[in-house]
Amino acid sequence: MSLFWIVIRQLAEIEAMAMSKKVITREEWEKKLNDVKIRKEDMNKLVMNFLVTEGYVDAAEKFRMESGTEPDIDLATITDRMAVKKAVQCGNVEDAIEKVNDLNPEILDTNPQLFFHLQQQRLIELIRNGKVEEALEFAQEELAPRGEENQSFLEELERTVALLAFEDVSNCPVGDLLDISQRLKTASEVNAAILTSQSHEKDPKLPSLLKMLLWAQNQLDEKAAYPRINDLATATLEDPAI
Amino acid sequence: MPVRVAESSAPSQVSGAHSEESSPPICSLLTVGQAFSGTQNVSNLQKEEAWRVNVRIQGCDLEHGYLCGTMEALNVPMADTPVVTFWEGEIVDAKNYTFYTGKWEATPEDDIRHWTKFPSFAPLLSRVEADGGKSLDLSNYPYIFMRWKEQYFVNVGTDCGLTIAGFYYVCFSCSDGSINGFYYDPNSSPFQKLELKCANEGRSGFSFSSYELQ
Amino acid sequence: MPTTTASAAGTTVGNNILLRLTSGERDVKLKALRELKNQIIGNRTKKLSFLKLGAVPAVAGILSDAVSAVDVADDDENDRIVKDIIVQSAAVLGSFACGFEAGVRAVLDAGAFPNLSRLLSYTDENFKIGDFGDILIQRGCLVEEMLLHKSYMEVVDAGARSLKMIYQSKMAPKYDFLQEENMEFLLSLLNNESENVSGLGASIISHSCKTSLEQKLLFDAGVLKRLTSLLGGSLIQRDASLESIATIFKNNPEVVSKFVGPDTGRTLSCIIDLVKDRFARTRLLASLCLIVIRNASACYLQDVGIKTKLINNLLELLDDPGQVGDEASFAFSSLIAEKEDMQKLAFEVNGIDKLYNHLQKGSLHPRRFEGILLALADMCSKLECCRSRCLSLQVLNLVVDALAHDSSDVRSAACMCLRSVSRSIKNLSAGSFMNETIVIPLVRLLDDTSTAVQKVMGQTISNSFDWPRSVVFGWEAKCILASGCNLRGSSMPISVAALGAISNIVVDFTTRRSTFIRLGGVKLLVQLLKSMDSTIRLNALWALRNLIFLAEDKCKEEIFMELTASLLASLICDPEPSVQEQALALVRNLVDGRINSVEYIFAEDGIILDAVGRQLRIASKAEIEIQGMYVLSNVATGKESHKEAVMDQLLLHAENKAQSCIIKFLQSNDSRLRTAAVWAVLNLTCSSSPGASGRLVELRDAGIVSHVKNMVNDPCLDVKLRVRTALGQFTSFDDSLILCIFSPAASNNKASTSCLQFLTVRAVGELSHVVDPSSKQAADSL
Repeated sequence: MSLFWIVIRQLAEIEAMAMSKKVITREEWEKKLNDVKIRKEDMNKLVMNFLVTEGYVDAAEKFRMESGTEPDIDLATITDRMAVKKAVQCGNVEDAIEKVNDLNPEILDTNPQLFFHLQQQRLIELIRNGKVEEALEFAQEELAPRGEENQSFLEELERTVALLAFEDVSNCPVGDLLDISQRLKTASEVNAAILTSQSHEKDPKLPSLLKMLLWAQNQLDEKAAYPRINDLATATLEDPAI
Repeated sequence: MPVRVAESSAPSQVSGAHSEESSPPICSLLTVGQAFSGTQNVSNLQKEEAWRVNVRIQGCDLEHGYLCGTMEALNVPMADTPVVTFWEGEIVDAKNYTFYTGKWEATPEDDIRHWTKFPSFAPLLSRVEADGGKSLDLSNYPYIFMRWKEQYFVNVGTDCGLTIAGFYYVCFSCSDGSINGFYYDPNSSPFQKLELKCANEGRSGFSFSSYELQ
Repeated sequence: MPTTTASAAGTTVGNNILLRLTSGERDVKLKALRELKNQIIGNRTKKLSFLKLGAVPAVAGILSDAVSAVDVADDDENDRIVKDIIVQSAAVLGSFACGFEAGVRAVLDAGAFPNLSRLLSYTDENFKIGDFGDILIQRGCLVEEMLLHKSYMEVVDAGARSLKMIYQSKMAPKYDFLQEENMEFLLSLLNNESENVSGLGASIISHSCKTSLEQKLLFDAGVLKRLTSLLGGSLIQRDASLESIATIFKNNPEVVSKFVGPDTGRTLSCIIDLVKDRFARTRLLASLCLIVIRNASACYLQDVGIKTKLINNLLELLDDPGQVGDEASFAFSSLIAEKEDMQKLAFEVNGIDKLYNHLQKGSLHPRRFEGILLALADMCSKLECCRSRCLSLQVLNLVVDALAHDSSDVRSAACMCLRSVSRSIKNLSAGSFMNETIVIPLVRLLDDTSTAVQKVMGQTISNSFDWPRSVVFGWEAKCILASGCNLRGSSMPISVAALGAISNIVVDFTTRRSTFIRLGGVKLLVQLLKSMDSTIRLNALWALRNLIFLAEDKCKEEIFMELTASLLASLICDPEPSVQEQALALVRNLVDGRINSVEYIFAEDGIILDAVGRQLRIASKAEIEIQGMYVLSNVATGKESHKEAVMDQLLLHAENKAQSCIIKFLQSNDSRLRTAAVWAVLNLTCSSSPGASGRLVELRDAGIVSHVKNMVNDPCLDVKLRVRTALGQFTSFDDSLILCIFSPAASNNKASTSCLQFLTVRAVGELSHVVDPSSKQAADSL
């Protein structure tokens, strides 16, 4: 340690952040886009992947014949998967569970969360149909033990049972459980689990590619003005705003 | 007077091919718990002045060339209590650290200018100038070279009027446990000399404590 | 009461199903089987209640009957129903065995295992009866060809699935790889096109391959080649294969070294690719494979890119909300434990921050909480930069909270984390740990009698192998993890984990020891010294030894009051050598410091000193001797009486004077022991003390001086320099002795007579080693 000798040196440098955005014209942009070569087969695969994952079996079959693109999964298995998905969407949860178990008994045995959500959906359907007593018994018998095993299941169970407490369920705080969207949510969860058990990706690639496009555009916005795609459905290039 | 053993043999060089562990000598006088006392000369052009200084080793990890401890300055002007700082040391072992500091605003020229103030450094100078001393085997050299860098004030605030911006070039003698050092800080008076002797705290001989971390 | 009604109703339904299982009508039976299957899948409660109703033996019986009935099935229709019954009953048995140990036991007890095995060789003709070994009689034409028949695949798959479930439990019978035909059968399973059958093959390896001989046999049989090709297969095959590969490599450097040869590039790069697979579980298993390879020897996977990728991957896997995320931290620990280079890499990719972010989320599952704390403990075990980062993020607040967690595993992990972080001398010096927030919960844990069981593999499995968490990983994967990262000890009482942290934080350079004493820490530590468990005694002593290091007088006094001389003396003679060593180290610190501290060793008629002397004469371990010698050396820095007491211990109590233990120590191979012994001699002959010359004569008579002289060129620099100081000290006496002998006042002195003798002997030339010319001159002048 020592005494200070001479103390302060001033550093008075102010960095001028001359940040000017670069402008890229439509012509330049299109030229660059044209320079990127994308194989037709890859595009077709992307489409096929979407059809298969989403379960459009007829469309997939037609597309296969038209484009010659082979699906990466046995199309027959799509039919089984769609049957399960449809059963949930129509509220026939018990039927869906049996179908899944026939398809592969391991799925529900090794996926407690999915199993719980299916049972929960069953309870919701019972409540929807006004079978109060049956619903109570089912909640007690089938769902309560799951709640004991897992705190978050218990919370979800409590929310669901709360449906029984309201006269007018359409207007209660947990009414969203009765929405069709709840069925769709459960159905898509089953769909994903079956796909995973078949070593297939549970989400189609196309939406994530589009998400990536939006992200990349947002990153680029900070640095440059360029022809943007604002409407994904048409994919038209908008002129850069200067 | 104890016999001063003259160490004439120049330090051997590592023979490249079978370079063995060249860790510094494990000297029992440079172990945890050991205390040293002496002075730091802070004279400047205006006046002669020296502080009494106590040092205690608190930690030692030769594998990593690391040493640490506290330094207490007793009669510091403007301070009403002794000022205690915690320092960490780099042991020049050619493995973890070399003679070149490479930081703390010390250029190789500053390094050489300070090291050469220690007579025990003289036999090493040519090799250090040649390759930074990387080829030196210091494991049997009876002196240990270190840099001590103070990290924080233990018992006072940073407004105590003292700076710990610099660091010490240190030379420890394994035979008698004496320590010499020079404080270096471009913003402080140059070559403030630290001179410490191994303290035996009123005992007739040297006693040793130890701790072990888990 | 709704509960009773519900379960009563449940039982009625259950009994009804069971009744229908016994029906003579095959259709009714089949329907009941399916119903049973749909009841129990995913439902642990139902599994248990049906188990109690005796469903497992019933279904096993149906399977057995159906397997036999295949032979006599007369028409296609019958054949179809029998086949359906087989598939459904196998599925039921498989579900009972899925992640449910009691179920596995019931299935095995019901004798279903051989029948399920038979399903693997189901053909369009009939069953070839026999178990694994027998099947091989027809091997070649069997497994491969038969299973080509797609319609029968369903049966084979059902059997393979159920067996796979069973093999995920440690209760499954061990597969004997040592029999050649078994190995061939295993290869045929692995070669099978059905993912369930080949997956089963891999599961068998993961389950049954335990010894290094088995690992070698599997490797030599070319199993790895098969497993490699499965890496390109379906998700099930890939994961099962990765797990098996890790099993074959685990702790077996020989097999790994054979593998890491010129033509392994493909397998290895395949595994490396899978580290970025889209499935989290696959990524974790691939990482585990690389970890066992890397842990076999540091020379594998040296590429920084791969190492960084592994670390990043595992840190990212922590984001997985499920079991993969829970286990990722354990894999991370096994990757970095004891490896400074890996810890450094992990630090550079912000590992500490990432782990902290997870901790910060709060309400973590205990397994995940434990894993993250252990990962932090490993990161901070060696590197100061990691510890600093932890402290600046204020991780300690969370760790301290965890000391009071409900789970003993979490409490124990929190202690380990605290222990690692408190290795920072920089922060110990600043007194960062010695405060009430940390000390109070830690001291409280000293009373904690629970045992953290996560260290013992077997226990890990039996404790956690339960639905639903265990189903994602077989117990093999857990073993790989367990053996990788938790070798730290056997089941460790919480108090020992707490002692580890306490031992560090009591190393105090400020004056905050009183905090620890005031909070009752010393009282509890002294209690633990009386424990039956030597590990507890050792660690409690360790903490006290560190606490006493450079302690101020008042603290020493308080600690010694609790300790008592008799307890210390008995610990010095403890049956456990490591306890003896620690007790001696404690005494060494006790008598250091201010000179009156030396008196402690003379309390109660000097029983401590006697114990030290006795231990030095009988000890056989250098560590004990070193600490003991430093005790004597420290005492020898005291007053005359202290020095004389040390002389007594060294000379008087030696059975044969010429065989003082110090001579043995001076000749030791351990330079640390030689150093300690020379220091004792130095302190005893320290020229500032009046009786030094007399002691020098005694030491010379005992042959000790000549031993010291022989060490003048000791290979250890420290010893050499001390010896030279000692020789200087010896000769300085010669000079003062001459004065003393020739001074009239001293002529009647007994000591001067012996000094005269000493110098005469020296004059004869015994001291030829002495280098100081002035003393030589003095000798010559005599």
